[in-house]
Amino acid sequence: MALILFSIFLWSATGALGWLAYQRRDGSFRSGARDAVREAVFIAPRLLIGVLGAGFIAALLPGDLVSRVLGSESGFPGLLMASGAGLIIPGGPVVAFSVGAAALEAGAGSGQVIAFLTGWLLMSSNRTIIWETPIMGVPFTILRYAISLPFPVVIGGIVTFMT
Amino acid sequence: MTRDQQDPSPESQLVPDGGTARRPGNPKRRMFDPGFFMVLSVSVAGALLVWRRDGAGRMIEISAEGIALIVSIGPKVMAAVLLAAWLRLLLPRDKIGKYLGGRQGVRGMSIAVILGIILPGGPMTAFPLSIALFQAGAGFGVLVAFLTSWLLLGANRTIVWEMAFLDYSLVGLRYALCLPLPFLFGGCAQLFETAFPDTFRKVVRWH
Repeated sequence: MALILFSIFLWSATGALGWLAYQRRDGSFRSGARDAVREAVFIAPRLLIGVLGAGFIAALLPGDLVSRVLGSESGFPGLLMASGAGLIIPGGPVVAFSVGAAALEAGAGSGQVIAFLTGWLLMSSNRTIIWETPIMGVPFTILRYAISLPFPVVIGGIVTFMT
Repeated sequence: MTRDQQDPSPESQLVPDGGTARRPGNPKRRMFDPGFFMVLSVSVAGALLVWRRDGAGRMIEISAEGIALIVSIGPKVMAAVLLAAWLRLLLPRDKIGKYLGGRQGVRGMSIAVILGIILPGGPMTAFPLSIALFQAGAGFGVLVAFLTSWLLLGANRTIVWEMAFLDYSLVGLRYALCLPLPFLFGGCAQLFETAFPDTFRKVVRWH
């Protein structure tokens, strides 16, 4: 139900913006649609290899080991390890989300997977090195990290508690 | 840091990819970058290993599940990408800067959080934009709230990537739990700015 509402909302918003772009009559509608197609062509192969790869890796991962080290019973050490993995894993969303999905399927706890993803979202080493420190500077990055650091474990812990 | 490094003109990125497809020195995106080939080789190796261990049937079964997933997420991805493309044309950056400039406090942070959620584009849009907001007079707290919101709640990343890989209920739970964090982090940053006035301005050297 929530998903249907979400889809309706998403498509209504898209339709409304398309209408606004069309109303401008300056080619915004067409050039936006062209940008979107270009972006979709970029995304499609990544989504394909990522989703398929996640499925294969999940089948290959040793389930008992994953659930022992990162399962929902692994508690605080598991949350800490998962958060740390989120900070150091190289790569963008295809890598991070497919690793998360594969780990989940192989028996990792949802709290641990959310801790991993929150760690990656807030403090991805890749993005920090390539984008944040060159643009924002090291002091700002340190300040932001200092505030963010405990939260992957906190959010993961709440998810473990709730599921 | 020179001015043009801060503002590499975003060629066409609408959804954060954050991988190796783009760098500040080379803002033009490559279709096939090292990151793509890395994921590709891991996927192919995984497929071959599954084939050898469990047979071709299991490999085809896993592929079919994956393709079914992509077919179901496809329309949502397309909608999100179209939304981002039109939004970027209708909401130019200088307008955003003017609107958020000089804003502080909870009101400023709320607008910053909404901006972080809807902002189309990746790190080459978000980081320079946050510096532009600061230069237009937005407080440190507003800045941190904006970046945290973009990182944790960015709608494009969640719709295109997160919902493709993870169960919707888990995505919803994570999103709901992360919703207060931009305000919390922004509040911390604002307290820091109030406690040590000018320290922040001195250390960041964005002027």
